[in-house]
Amino acid sequence: MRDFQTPMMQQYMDIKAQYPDCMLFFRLGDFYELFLDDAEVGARVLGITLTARPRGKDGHVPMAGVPFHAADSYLAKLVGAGYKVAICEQMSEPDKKGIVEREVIRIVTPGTVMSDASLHSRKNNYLCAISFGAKKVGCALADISTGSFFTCEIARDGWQKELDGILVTYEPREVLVSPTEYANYEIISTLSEYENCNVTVFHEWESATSDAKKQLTSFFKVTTLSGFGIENKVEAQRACSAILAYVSTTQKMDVQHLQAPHALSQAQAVILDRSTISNLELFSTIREGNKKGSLLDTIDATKSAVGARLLRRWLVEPLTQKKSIQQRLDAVDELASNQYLREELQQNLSRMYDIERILARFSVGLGVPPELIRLKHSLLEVLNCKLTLQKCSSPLLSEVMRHMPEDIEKLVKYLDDNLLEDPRVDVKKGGVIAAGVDVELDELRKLQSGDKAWLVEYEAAQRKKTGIITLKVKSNKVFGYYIEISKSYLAQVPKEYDRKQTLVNAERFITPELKEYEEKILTAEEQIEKIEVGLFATIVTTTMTYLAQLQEAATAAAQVDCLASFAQTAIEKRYCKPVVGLSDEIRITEGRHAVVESIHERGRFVPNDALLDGSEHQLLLITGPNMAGKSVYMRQVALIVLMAHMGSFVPARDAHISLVDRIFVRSGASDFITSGMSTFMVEMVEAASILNHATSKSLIIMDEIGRGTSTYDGISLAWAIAEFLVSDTKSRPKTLFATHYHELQQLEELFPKSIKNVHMAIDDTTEPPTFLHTVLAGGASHSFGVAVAKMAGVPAKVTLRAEHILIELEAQSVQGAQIGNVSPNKNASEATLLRELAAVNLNTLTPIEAFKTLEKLQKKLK
Amino acid sequence: MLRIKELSADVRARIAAGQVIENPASVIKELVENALDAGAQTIDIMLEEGGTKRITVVDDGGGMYPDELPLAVAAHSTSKISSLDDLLSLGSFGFRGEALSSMATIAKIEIASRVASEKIGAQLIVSHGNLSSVSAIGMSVGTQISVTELFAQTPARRKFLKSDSTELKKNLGVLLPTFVSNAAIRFSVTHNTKNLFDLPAQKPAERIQSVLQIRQQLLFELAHSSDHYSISGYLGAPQLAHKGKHRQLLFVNGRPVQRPDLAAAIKEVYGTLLEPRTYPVFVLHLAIPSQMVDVNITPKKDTVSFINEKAVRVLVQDAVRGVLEREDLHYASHGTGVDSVLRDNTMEEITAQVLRADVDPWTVKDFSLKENAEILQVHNLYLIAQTSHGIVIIDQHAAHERILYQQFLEAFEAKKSQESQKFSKPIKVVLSKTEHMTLEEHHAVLAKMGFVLTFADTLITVKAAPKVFHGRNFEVLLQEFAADLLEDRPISELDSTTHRTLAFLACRTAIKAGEALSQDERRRLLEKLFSTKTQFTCPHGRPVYIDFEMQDLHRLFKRIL
Repeated sequence: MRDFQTPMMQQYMDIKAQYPDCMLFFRLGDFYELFLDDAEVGARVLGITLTARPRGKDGHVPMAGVPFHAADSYLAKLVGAGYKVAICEQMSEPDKKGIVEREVIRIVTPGTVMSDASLHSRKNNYLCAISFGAKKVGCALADISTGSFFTCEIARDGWQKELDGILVTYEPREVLVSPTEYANYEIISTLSEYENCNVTVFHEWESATSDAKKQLTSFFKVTTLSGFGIENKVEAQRACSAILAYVSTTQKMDVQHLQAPHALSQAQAVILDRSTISNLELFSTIREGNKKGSLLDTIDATKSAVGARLLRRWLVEPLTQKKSIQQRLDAVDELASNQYLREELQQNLSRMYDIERILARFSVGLGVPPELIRLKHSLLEVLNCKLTLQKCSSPLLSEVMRHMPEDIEKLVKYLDDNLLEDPRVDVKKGGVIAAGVDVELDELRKLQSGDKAWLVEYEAAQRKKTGIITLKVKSNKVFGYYIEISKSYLAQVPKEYDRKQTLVNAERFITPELKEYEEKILTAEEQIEKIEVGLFATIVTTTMTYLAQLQEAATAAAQVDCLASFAQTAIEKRYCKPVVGLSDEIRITEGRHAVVESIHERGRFVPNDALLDGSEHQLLLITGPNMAGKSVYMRQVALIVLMAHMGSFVPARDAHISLVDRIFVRSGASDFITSGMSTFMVEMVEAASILNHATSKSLIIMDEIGRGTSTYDGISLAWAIAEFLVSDTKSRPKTLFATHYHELQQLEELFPKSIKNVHMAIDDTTEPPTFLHTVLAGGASHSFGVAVAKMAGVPAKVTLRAEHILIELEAQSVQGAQIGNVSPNKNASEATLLRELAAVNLNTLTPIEAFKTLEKLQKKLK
Repeated sequence: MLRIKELSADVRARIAAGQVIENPASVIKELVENALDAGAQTIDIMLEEGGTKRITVVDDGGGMYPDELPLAVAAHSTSKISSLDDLLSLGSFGFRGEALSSMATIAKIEIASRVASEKIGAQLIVSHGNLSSVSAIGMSVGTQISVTELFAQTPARRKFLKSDSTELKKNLGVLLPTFVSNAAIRFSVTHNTKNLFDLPAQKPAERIQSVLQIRQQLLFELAHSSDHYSISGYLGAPQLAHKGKHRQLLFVNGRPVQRPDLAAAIKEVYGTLLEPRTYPVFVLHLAIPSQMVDVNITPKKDTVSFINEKAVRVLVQDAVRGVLEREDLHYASHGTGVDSVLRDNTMEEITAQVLRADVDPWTVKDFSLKENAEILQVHNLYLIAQTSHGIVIIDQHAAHERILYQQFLEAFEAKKSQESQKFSKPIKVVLSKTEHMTLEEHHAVLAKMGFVLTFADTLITVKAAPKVFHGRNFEVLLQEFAADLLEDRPISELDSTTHRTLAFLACRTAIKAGEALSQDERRRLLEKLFSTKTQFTCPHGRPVYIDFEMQDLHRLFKRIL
C-alpha cells in the first residue's frame, strides 16, 4: 500500500483501513471526496470528473468529489449499483490548530439506505440475513426504512427451493451471510442469481449471533421470545440477531423503530413460489418485466405509500383462514357500497405522508423539522380517518378504527404548540420552534428583531451629528456592522470613527457602539441557535415516546387504504364478492382475467365459467388450438382464487372459492430466469416441486407440460403426471391441465371420477376458423395450428403443404391412437434414422467415432 | 323474457311513426332503451367521432336467441308489445319495433347476442339492408350492437350531421337523463379512447351527484303522492340554479320527457328564491298509471301528454312547495327588485373597484339646458312627457339606473378581455362532465377573454383570469359560461354575479325616487334613456317606462272601441 506523508492523507488511510469494503465519502469542506481507487470507481459510476490533485509531498492523488448538499442523489446511485458507502464527517471546527478530526458517522448499504432518493415509496426495501445451521436455515428480513421485521426457519434440506419463494416475494436488496458461508460455493452461487440482490459478508457474524437469544431479548426488552414465535428457532434467532448487529454497525446507533420480528408461518399464507409469482404476473410482466400490465398495477388504487407497500404484501401473503378472509371481504363490501364513505377515507389517505419512513429517519437521527410537520398533518388525517370509520359497522373496519390510537391527538397538539408551521430544514439556522414555547427564546428573538429599530435610530443620530446625509449603517458577513460614508463627505468624518475598509467611492468605519450592538446580536443569534437545537431535540425525543402508537396508526391507515383500494377496484372494474371456503369447490360464473380484460373494450372480454372440485371435476383437461385462450383461462381461474384469498372482490359474475393452501402455476417455456438450466430441465424441476408438495387443498395450473422435449417424451410425461395427480389417494389437488396432446383426452374415460375434458370452442365453418374464446365441455378435435399459421401470415405455399402433410399424418395415426401401444406417426426421415442407428456396429467404433455418429444422427433429427 | 315477433298489420298501422333515426343520439337512445328493456345491469357505450363513425352498445341483459336476430332487424318486430292493448299498459321504452329496422336500412349494424342458457352467442351483420347469415361468436350473456357507416349511402342525410363535439353533446343530452333515472344500472361511456363516464351501481342521490356534479348537501329529497299519481326525486338548492336548463330532468314512468310547461311551473314555485333568468335544478320522477299518459305523440317519444294535465301540474307544484317549505327556504326569500339589491351586500368588490375607476358616472345634474316641451314630474317619482304618438310615463330612478347600468356594462365588456392576471395560487374547480367538455371545447374563446385554464381528468385549474373576475366563485362563473356555450350563446352575456354587481353599482349611483329634478335634468335623463341600448326594463327587471299611444288613450276614454 502506498505510504503518505501529509497528515490528511494519513488520516484518510487510517479511516479507510477500518472500512475496507466501503467507498469512503471523506468530508472536505463543502464536498465529499473520494480518493485513490474509490475515486476511480466513483468517477465511473457517478459520471463525475476524476482529477489528480497534488497533495504536498504525496504528489498526485486521484480524487473525485461531490458537493455535500447533493450527496443524496450520488449516494443513491452508488448504493443502487450495489456499493457500500461510509460517510466520514468533520467532527471538529476547522479553525483549530492541526488537522480536523474526522469520523465515520454512518454506513450506507443497499439494504440500509434511508434517503428518499434511494427508496421507492410504494415498495419495501428489505435487508435479509440468512443463517445456516446443520439442519435448519434461518432467514430474517427487515426494512430499516419502515421498521418492519420478520423471520422464518426452514429445513436445510432443499433450502434453495424454500428460500427461493421468500427471496422472490420480498426482493431483498442485500443479503447478509457469515464469512464461512461466503466461502461456500453452493450458497453464494444460489444467492447471486437474484437480480438486484447484493450478498454482503458480515465479518462480525460470529460475535453478533453467538448469543442471539440474549441479544434479541435485551434489544426488544422482553424476557422470552415466545411472543415472536421463534422461541425454539435457533437459526431464525441468529438471523434476526445478525440484522440487529448489522443495522447498529451501519447506523452507528441502536435504532428504536425496528419492530419486534414476527415469525412468518406458512400456515398463515397461501404459498406462492417463484414460478407462480412470475407466471401470474403479479408484480411485472413476463415478457418485458414491466410493472404496467401486472396484477398489482391493475388492482392498486391505494392512496398512501404505507398502503401501497402493504398491498404488495397482501398480494404475496394471501390468507388461509376463512374468518380473516371473510372479515376483509365484509369490510370491502361496506366500503364498496358506500361511495361517500369511501371517497372521504381516500381523501384523508391521499393527504398522508409516509409516516413509517418519517419515523425511521428520526430514529436514526436523520429527521429534519419539516418532517415533523408532515407527521403532524398525517396524524390529523389518521384522526379524520378514525372519525369517518366510526360510521362503519363491519368488524374489521371497526377493529382498525380502534387501532388508531387516540393518544396521537395529544402529540398533534404538542407538535402544533411547539413547532412553527413552516419550519426551516436546518434547525441550526433557527426558525423552527414556535413562539410561546420558551420565554428566553422569545426574548432573544424580540431582541434580534426589535433592535433593528436601534439601528435606524443610531443611523439618524449619526447623520445629525456628522451632518452627512448619505451616511448609512450597513452590515455584511465579513465586517459585521459598519458605517459607510461616500468619498465626498470624508472630510466630515469624526475622529472616533475607526476606518475598516476603503471602496472605490466610499469608506467604511466602525464605532464602539456598533461593535457592542453587533456583539449583542451575534450572541443572541448564537443563543437562539443553541436553544432551538436543544428544544428540537426534546421535541424529537417526546415524539419518539409515541413511536409504538405511531407505528400502529400507520399500520391501521395502511389497512384502511388497502381495503378502500379493493373496494374502489371492485366498483370500477365490476368485481363481485366471492363466497370463500363454504365448500370444497371452485365454482366461477362468468369469470374474467383481471389484467387481460382491461385491454379490451368494456364488456368485450369473453368470460368463462369454471368448476373444480375434489371429485368429478378434480382435473380439467383443456385442449384447443393455440391462441384460443387456454392460458388466459387457466390464469384467470388462478388469479380469481388468489384474489379471493387476499380478501378482494373478484372479476366474475359470481364465485364460490374453496380454501387453498398453495397455488402452483407451471407454464410454457418462456420463463427460464434461472441460468444454466435448459428449458426442459426448468420445466421438470418445477413439475417435481408440484408433484412433491401438492395437497388436496392445492390449486395447480399445468400449461402444456412436456412441451420442452420430443413428442413421445412429452406425451408420456404429461400422461403420467396427469395420472399421478388424480390417482394419489392422499393428495387430490384441483388441477387445470392444458395440453395440445389430444391423446390425453382418453384420460377422461379412464378416470371418469376425476377428469373432465373441456376445450376452447372454435367455429370452423368460417374461413379462417373463428376463435370463440369460450370453454366448452368435451375434447377438441384438432389444433388448428395450420389455421393459426395462416392468420400469422406464413406463406400460402407453406401452409398448403402443411395441410397436406397434416391430413396424411392424421390418416396414419388413426390406428395408433391408443396409448399403451402408441404407434407413432412416423415419418420417412425418422424411419431412415432408425435404420441407420440399427446399422451402426459399435464393436468397430472408437469412443470418439461413436460420439460423432451419435452427433450426426442427432443433427439429422433436429 | 318475451321473444321477438312481428307485429300484426293493424298494430303496426296504429303506431307507425316514420323516420326515427336522425343522428347518432337517436341511435344511442334506441339502443340504450333496448338494453334497459332487456333487463341489463351494465351498459357500456363506446363512441367514435361523436358516434358518426361508430356507436357500440354492450349490455348484459337477457340477450336474444340466434333465430331472433334476423327478426330483430326486420321492420315492426318487437318483443315489447303484441297487441294494441299492450300499448296502453306499456312498461317498456321501445314499442314500435321500428328502431333497429330503421337503423338497418341506413347503416351497417353488427349485432351479437347470447342468452344465458347458451354458451355461445350468435352474430348477424346487416349492411344497409343486406343481411349476412348468422354466425357463432364467443361473448358474455347479453347483446352487443355496433352501428357504423351511419347514413353512408344517404349523403344528403349525412350532411346534416354536425361536428363531432356537437353530436357528442347531443348524445350526452340523451344519455344523462337515462343515467340519472337508472341509478342502479352500471354505465360507461367512452369517446374515441377517452373515458367520459364510468358509473357504478349507485343510490339515486349518489348518481345525481356523479352525473351532475352536485354536492350531496345541496340536494333535497322529494316524495309526494295523490290518489293516482306519485312524484319523487330531488330538488337542487336555489343557489344551484343557473342559466342553463340542462340540469332539469323530468321522467314520466321512467321515461325522460321534455315538458317546458312543467319546468316553468316548478320555477314559479321557487319564485323569488331565484336570481333572474336562472333555472332551478331538479330531477323528478312522475309515476302515473299508464292508461292516463300518452307517450305515442312524437316518433322520438320525448314528450307525453296527460289525461288530466291540471292535476299533474298541481301535484308537481305542491310537491316542490312542500320541499322548499320543509327546508325552510321561503323565509330566506330575497326578491330581485331594487330593494333587495340594496339589502344584498354580495357585490363583488374587486369588480366594482375596477369598474368604478373606469366609469365616470353620468349624472343627470351635469347637463345643460335645452329648450323644448315641458316634462312633468309627479310626486318626485315619475316623469310624464309628450311624445310624437302619445305620452310616456317614466320611473326616474329606474331610468337613470338603466342608463348607468349600460355604462357599467360597456366598461365591463371592455375590461373583461384585458388585464388578465395570474393567481398566485391557481384555483381548482370541478364541474360536471358536460360542462367540463364544453369549456374544454371552447377553450380558445375563454383564453381570448383572458382566462388561462388547464383541463385535467375532472379538474379545471384556473391559473389566470381578467382582473374584473378576481375574488369570484369560479365554480359558479364557469358553470354559467358553460351554460351559455351549451345553448350556443356567446359568452358575452353577463354572468349573474357581474349582473348583480353592475346593477348594484348602477342603483347606488342613480338618482333616488323622491328626488326633485329640474326641467333640464328631466330632459337630459330622457334623452339619454332613449339613446341607451336596452331601455325597457331596469337592471332588476322592472319596467322603466310605460308608453301610451294616442290610440291607447282614446281607448281608455272610450273615444274608440
